[in-house]
Amino acid sequence: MKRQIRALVAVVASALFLFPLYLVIANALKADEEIVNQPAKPPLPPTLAGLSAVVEGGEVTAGLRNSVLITGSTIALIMVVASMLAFALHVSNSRLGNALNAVILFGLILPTPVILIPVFRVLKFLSLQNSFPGLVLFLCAYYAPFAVLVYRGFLRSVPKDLIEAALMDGASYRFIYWAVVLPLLRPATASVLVITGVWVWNDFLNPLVLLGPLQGNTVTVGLYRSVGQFSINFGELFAYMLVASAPVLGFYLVLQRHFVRGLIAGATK
Amino acid sequence: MASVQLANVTKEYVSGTAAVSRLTLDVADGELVVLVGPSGCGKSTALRMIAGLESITEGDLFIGGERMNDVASHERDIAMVFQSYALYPHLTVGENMGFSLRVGRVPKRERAERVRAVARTLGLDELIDRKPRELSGGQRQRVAMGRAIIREPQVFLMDEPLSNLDAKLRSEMRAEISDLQARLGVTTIFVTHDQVEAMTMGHRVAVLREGELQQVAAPYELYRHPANLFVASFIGNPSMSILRFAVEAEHRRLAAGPARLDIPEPVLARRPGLLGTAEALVGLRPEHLRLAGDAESGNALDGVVRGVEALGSDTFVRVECAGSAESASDAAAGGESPTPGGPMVTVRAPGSASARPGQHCRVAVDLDEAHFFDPAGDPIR
Amino acid sequence: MRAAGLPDRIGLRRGGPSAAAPAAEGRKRRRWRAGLRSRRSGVLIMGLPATALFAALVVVPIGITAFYSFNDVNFLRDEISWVGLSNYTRLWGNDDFRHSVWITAAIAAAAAVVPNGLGLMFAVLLDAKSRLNTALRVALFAPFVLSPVVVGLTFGSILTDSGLVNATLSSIGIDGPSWIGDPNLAVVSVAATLIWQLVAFATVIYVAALRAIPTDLYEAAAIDGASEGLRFRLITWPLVAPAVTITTLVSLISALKLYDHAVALTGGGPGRATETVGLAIIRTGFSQNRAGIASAMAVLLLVLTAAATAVSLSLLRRREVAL
Repeated sequence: MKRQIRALVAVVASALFLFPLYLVIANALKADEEIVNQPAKPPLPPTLAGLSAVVEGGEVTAGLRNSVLITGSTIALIMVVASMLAFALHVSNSRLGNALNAVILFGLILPTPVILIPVFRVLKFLSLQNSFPGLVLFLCAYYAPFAVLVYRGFLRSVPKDLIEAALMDGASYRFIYWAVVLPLLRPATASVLVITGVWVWNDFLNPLVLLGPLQGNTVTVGLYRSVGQFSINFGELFAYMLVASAPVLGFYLVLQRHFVRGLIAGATK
Repeated sequence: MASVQLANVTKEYVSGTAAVSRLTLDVADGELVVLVGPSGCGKSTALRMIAGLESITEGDLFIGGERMNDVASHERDIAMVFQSYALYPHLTVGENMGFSLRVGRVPKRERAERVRAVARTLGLDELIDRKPRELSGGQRQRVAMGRAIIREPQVFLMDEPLSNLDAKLRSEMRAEISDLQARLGVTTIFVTHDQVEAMTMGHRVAVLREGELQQVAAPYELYRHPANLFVASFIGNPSMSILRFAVEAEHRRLAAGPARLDIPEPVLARRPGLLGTAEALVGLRPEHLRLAGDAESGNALDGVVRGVEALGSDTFVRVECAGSAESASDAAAGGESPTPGGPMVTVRAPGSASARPGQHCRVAVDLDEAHFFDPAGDPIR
Repeated sequence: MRAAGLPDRIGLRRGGPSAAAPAAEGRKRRRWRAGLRSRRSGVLIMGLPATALFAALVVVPIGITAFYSFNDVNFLRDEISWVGLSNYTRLWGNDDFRHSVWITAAIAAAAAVVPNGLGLMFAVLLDAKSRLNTALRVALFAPFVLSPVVVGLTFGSILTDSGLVNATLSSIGIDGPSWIGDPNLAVVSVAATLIWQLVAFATVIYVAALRAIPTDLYEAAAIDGASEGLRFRLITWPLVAPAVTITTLVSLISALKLYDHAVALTGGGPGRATETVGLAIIRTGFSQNRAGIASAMAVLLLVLTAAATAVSLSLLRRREVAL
């Protein structure tokens, strides 16, 4: 009996808590006046009017393409550079390495607004302002500390013997990284890819400032920019939100195990 | 093939603590030497210095006559079997064994051939495409061996390779490794904390304690003539009983509480120093003690049976001796405080012996075979 | 070993490539003469790409921000002139900025407390093993993966004067306030938007923390006759201390860098009522093109964040140890 009450409380509390999420999904499938008059009503029968209007605009598909491109290249780059750095720090154990580690950890607490103005100057200096590569490099630098943290935490659970055995076989550190460490880090890599992927996809301020208006939007920035034009049409706004959120929600649902494990690995260090 | 020499090899950490101090050891070509000692005695550190996984603070290491202190491990022509086996979980058995060849850029064909040959040697041919997690403990152990063998090194280093196996498998693998080592004739240094392993496998055994070498000798020699109290109590299972006696020189006997033991002439002849000391620690192996009848004369101790371990072939009887003599075994083993009550001795009795806890008994002592140490733990000569 | 046909040891070593090995070995050996240590520091080279990126796009910009904060910077006319501390003194007297710091700190304080409470509550509710709980746990974390912009806009639609909240209130006869139009309530609304996502994060962390507590502790306490409340106080609460630490830190840092939620929900308004420090920096630096002042704000935000992190970390760690 006590169990059932507890389950009931859990369901009710969760439902209340998740109500905004329900709105995002339900209202994307409803007509405009329905959203305004009966926002909580389930989308029965569902209409794809909002979704098709948004997609037909063309801007959303371009935004999705840009987001995929930027997110994909950022997480690929992060995976490589962060795992190499984590491995280097793990093995070297030198004073230089420890100092480097401390600086990187400081990156975890850094708010982006603090550095965006100079980052824009640095990218301009490198002729990478208002460009995808410039944004990708910055996002990689900004989110790498978290990835390094996760990789280092995971490396601690890799037996030292494995690396020593390879060293005794004459393997160079580079070879050990490729042949031994990277395959072993696969679970950590999955976590890093999922988590930083979601963050990069959702990132708003960085692409807003660093891409500027001319190079095309990510879907998140596009959503914000579209608010003005859609403010009357809630149907299209919610549809846009669903399109922007569906990839990360799907990504999360499929890989949620890695997501959670990575967050915890990063968090407990 | 190569010999291994350690000359005053020392490992000191930045903190100043010495894990190994002035270790000197010669391992002959083709010999299997076991480094044994309690945990923290420095045996693994010593092995890791030979492997090149730890730097040598002081002293010299020679392999095959060449000084190796500053040579990277993979250039030392050695192979190591790790306690954890260090198998790569993402590689198959064959890829694990062939890893060093891959590193050495041995052509694929030759690599596969050599992996197959070694796998056949170890009875692993069926498992070559399996991953380590699909293997039993014993099979993993064999893969670890195979990985070392395939390199055809001058020296095998083994760091507690059997400690993750269950008791039965361990004794099988002991025999297998000894056999293999004898056939390949490769110089081998084997680290273990298990003295049974040391005694059964080593051509010679080196006993370490707190970073210092206590004795190097053939197993039986070590058993018969331990260089000091530590070796005496560490080697042998069940371990030697050690009793503290006052030496009554005028009566040529040992005394503790009510117990009096006459020292036989041959013993005095061999150890003239005995009468010159006031106190002696007497080490008695279980086989040199015997449950005696009440009427029997000769050297004996009275006591009460406290524990009986019937192993079938033998029965080991723990006897608490009457009197105030304290047991020195615990002090010798280092650390543990002496057990309350009188001193305990372990007696080997026939499997048919019928002793019950609480029973009074008499223990006949064969002092001819006893070991005598002064209170500092050095043998009395 | 057991197999009868043990190949001759030398038989394993074939001629061919291995015969050429010794010469190459000699060369290689000399190269590694320096021993283990130099190889180990050599491995740091692998960290170079990440380090270079981080240095160029994070560390150097922090330095530039600090430098700008002592200058009058005009990018349009490409002018930079040293003004010493005057940017900082001007901020001191700037009521709008003081307000920004004040609301940012207030939101941070709320964010440090509320997600801990609600997250732990959800975790305890969902701790029992059941399929329902597993599904709920997965669902409860979903808000954390939504974009803050989406969250802000959604909350906006709920909280507008004619939105769902006030519609519900009026249906039970209450005239709801203006959640986004009222300057004070708008701050609360922004905080709620952020906290909604942080609760999702906290729940995951606490669920994992509860999982890590061995059940036999509870069983032993139950046998000793401890009530459920006592068990929570004596076992659960002390043992989730690391989760408290991490939830508090992540929440604090997220609140101090708050930008996206506020932009999407209120755009900083009404007026500048919900202009967090992050918003103030971007508006001043980019919209008003006053990089010097914005950089001074940025330095202050960084100092505030570092101080808040350091203080709470040391407090929470001490608590972890004490327990």
